[in-house]
Amino acid sequence: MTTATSTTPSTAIETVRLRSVSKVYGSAAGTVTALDAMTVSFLAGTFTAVMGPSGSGKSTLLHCAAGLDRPTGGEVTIDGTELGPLDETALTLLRRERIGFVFQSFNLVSALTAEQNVALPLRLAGIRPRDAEVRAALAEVGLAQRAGHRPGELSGGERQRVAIARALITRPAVLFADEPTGALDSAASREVLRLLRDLTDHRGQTVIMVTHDPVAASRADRVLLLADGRVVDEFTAGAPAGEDRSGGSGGGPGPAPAERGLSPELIAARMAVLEASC
Amino acid sequence: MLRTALIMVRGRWSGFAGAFVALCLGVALISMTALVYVSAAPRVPDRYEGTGVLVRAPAAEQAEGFFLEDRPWSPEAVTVLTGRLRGVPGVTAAVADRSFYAQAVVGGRPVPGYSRGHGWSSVALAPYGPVEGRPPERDGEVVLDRALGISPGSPVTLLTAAGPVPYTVTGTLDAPGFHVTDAAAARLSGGVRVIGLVTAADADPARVERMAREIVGGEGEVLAGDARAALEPRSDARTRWIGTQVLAGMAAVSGFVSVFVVASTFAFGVVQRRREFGLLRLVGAAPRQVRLMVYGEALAVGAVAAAAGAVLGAVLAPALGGLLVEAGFEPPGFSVRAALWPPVASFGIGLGVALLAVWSASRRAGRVRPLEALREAEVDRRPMTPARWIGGAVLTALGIGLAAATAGAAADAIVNYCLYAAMALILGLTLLAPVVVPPVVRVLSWPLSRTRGAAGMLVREELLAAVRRTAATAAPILVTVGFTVLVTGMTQTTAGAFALGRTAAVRAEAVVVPDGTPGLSDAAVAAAGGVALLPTTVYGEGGPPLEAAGITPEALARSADRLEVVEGSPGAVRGGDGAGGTELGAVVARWLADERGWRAGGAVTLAFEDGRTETLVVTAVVADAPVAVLLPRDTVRSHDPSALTGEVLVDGAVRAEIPGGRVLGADAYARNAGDEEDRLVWIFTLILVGMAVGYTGLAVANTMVMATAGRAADFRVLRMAGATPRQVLGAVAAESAVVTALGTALGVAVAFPALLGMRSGLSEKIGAPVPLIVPWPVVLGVIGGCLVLAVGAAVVPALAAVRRGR
Ligand SMILES: Nc1ncnc2c1ncn2[C@@H]1O[C@H](COP(=O)(O)OP(=O)(O)OP(=O)(O)O)[C@@H](O)[C@H]1O
Ligand SMILES: [Mg+2]
Repeated sequence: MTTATSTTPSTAIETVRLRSVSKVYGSAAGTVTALDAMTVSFLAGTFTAVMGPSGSGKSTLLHCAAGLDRPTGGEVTIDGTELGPLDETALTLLRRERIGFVFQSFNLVSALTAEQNVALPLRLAGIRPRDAEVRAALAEVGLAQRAGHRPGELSGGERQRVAIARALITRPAVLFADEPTGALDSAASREVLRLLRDLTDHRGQTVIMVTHDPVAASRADRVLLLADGRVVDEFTAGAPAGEDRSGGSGGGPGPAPAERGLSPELIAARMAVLEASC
Repeated sequence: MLRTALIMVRGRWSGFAGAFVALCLGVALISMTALVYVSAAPRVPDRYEGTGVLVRAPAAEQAEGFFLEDRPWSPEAVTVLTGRLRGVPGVTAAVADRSFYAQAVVGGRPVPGYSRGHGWSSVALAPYGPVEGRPPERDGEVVLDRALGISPGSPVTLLTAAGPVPYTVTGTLDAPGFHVTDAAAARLSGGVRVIGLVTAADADPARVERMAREIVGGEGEVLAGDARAALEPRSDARTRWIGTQVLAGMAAVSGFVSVFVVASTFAFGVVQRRREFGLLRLVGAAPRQVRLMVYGEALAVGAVAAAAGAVLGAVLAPALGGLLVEAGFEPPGFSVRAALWPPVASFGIGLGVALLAVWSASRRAGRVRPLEALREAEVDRRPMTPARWIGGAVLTALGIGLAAATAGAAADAIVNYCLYAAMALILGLTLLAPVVVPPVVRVLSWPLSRTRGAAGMLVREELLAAVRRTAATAAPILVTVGFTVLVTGMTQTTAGAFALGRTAAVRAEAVVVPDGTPGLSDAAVAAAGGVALLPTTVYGEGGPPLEAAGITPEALARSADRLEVVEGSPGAVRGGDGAGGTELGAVVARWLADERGWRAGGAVTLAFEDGRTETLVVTAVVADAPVAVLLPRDTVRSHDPSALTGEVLVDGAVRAEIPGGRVLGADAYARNAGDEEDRLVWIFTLILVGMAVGYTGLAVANTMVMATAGRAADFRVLRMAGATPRQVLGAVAAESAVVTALGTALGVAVAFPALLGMRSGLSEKIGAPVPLIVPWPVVLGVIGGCLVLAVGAAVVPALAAVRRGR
């Protein structure tokens, strides 16, 4: 069920590819190697969870992969474009068009309404957002009724869903999420996770999510375990997602985690081993 | 992007309120001063409103700030000119207009107000109503202003240049001024500079003007219609000029302070909104777009604020005009005229100021990196940039240089020098703040670190960690205190020094100064019995008019050892009639001798106030003459019957009653009580300081409110960590108090070196130690105001945050 290294089928498209990417933070107090020559790929249409002990480099991986931060070594390719040679503006344009983000908090501009927040990336691209499009995006995350509310008037889960709607409005090649459920209660978490899962299932959206929660990770197609800036373990759902589902509850929207072959208990056990070893 | 900016502004209106108010007030002030400025054009004097065509003596170009009378015609030229002008068809009379000093004395005191006398025939040039009573017919008769309440037939005492003289009132007019017979006016006044043409009702003014021009030729200037405004009294022109200086100073201060306040508000806003900008960058905003958005916000706030300010200024302009007249910065009768371009131009300036102010803030906003959206409050790693170092050092040096230059500046330029010095120093120190702030904070907050509670430590560390924020909140206080200490200290010290210099020059024990009069009469000078200069104007061949003064031989002898003689001997100035073989002597200032090539022993020909010329011998050239030419007092008096003495320096007590004058002890004089010019300068200073303080007070409140609002999360954490609301508020209040102390310390640090430099310069110039005068009540009041404002502006929003947190 688990493999030590990822064996990539040659037919699949690598939406995000990191080749021996390193990130070293230097400060007066000494240097920290957050990423240690990491090589990893993320296939189009897959949902990947990244786990690992605190400080293992999960956020750094996400930032480097998403072009938010520049690695100190190696190369990052998104949707066929290598990020290294791009200048700040080109990188911004690429992010705007190809990448969506959701973070644990601080996701929304507090002065703007939900609708305006969702439309922001389009406006930034100089596109006049069509009302219907924005409404549809909000409806998709179940917030059609809250379009005119400011972030201060929304619950944490609702805010997170607005952030997801905004991240998807430009139809990005990949959606990055750093602990999107970290600040939510279990019901709100479930709602957000269901949303992410559906995106991969129905739209073929590539999703890369950092999480501490084994339950959240169990919804993914593949789990990467990080320690000290390296991928130390990796496991995928036993069968390809589509097949697994059709053999399950007969086309129901969200198959139960247990049926997918990635059980939270298993993930939790692996994590415990990892945490004990470092 | 602009739309987003608009939405942002609407969403966080409170964050822009400070910039809005500052800009609105700045534009209002500029619009107001511009309106007053364009209204302050010369007007046709009322006295000449009744006649269409006037001729005046040729006017010579004068240096900026000089308002000496032009050279009058000689008596012969007046006779010839009036005779020929009277021959113009349609002209019924050519009136030689004469003016002299006269003031009514009622109840033993001179009546203030218009203090000029004229010949009766000048009344024909004015549109005055009919005389009640009859015109003056012989010496000792006068027609005066009905408003004085003296009825025809009553006796009246008129104060003239000679002293009090009894007159009989023969009539009253509904107009200011004292009208005596033409013969009496000729004796009391100097020369004639204006000839008015009284025309018949059916005369063609254009034809009269043309013919007058032919007759006068190069001997004068024919003025008709609006051009008659050139006949405005020189004293009014001078008042207007001072007013213009005041307005320019006000505009400069309001421009500077509004740029400063708006810029710091925007800069502070950017610092506080790093996370928001990071988020925008995260969702795909390019640095340029973030910059544009910040510009867009400034434009949105700026447009509304500038429009409101322009309108406000237009509404308030008449009130400002009234105030300026009252303070003596504009001549009486001045009123503000409506004009469109000043408000429109100030609107444009306001927008420009907003964009200029936001320039550096926008650059900083554009540099925010997307990851900053995900970080906790960032500690400023690189608060000092090379540009800051260079700019700060250059401006500080410039400020110190300007302050030193103040010592050498002319009296009327001192205020402006002070202002520029203050501005440069303030900007310099603000730029250097990130280096200067931490050590000062450490010293100032030392007492806090000795306290047992958590609050002391918290305050200290907060201030030290967020150097930029601390500097930003202290900046307006720095400006306020620095400005107040520097400007008030400079004006007071300089005024004191000049008075000291004047007193020291003659070692006088007392000084007699005018009291309710424009100057002292001969009778007053005689009663005082001291050293006095009789100021007048003389005219060389070509060139501008020259300031001159008459001095008695005894007085000259007494102050001879004080004059720095270049050549000749000033003692050789002798009085005389010039005809009886006695030679007339003149002491000439070196700059003038150099300019005209005059040498001691040589002869010079000068024209006087009455239009007559005289040939004098230059007895001495001196380096430090108080005026261009020193002449025997008798000579001056014989040519200028209307001249008044400015002040008399007296040794010993003055026993006699002095008509129209009062005695000041040397100390009182040195403190400059009652000196008109210094009073104006002081009022001007207070206006400027008041304005600057009003503005910066606004900025203090604004930055404090913004800083506190930005820290609601910190307060929540504190509360959760077990702090009582009282403890949180205490910490906030202590922090604002430390920031106020910081701003005050830096402000004083800005001001004192400059003041000390100026003092040493002045001491050197005067040759006596000059005391440093700082009006502490004003300064302490300003500091106290800042403290109340800062603490209040921090505690009130913190209180709201703490309440909300519960
Ligand atoms: N800006 C920075 N400067 C210096 N060191 C940093 C910086 N950001 C991260 N690090 C260090 O890099 C390492 C990896 O950090 P990273 O944020 O990627 O961890 P993480 O796996 O996301 O942890 P967590 O689960 O706690 O969020 C850590 O040791 C951290 O201390
Ligand atoms: Mg992390």
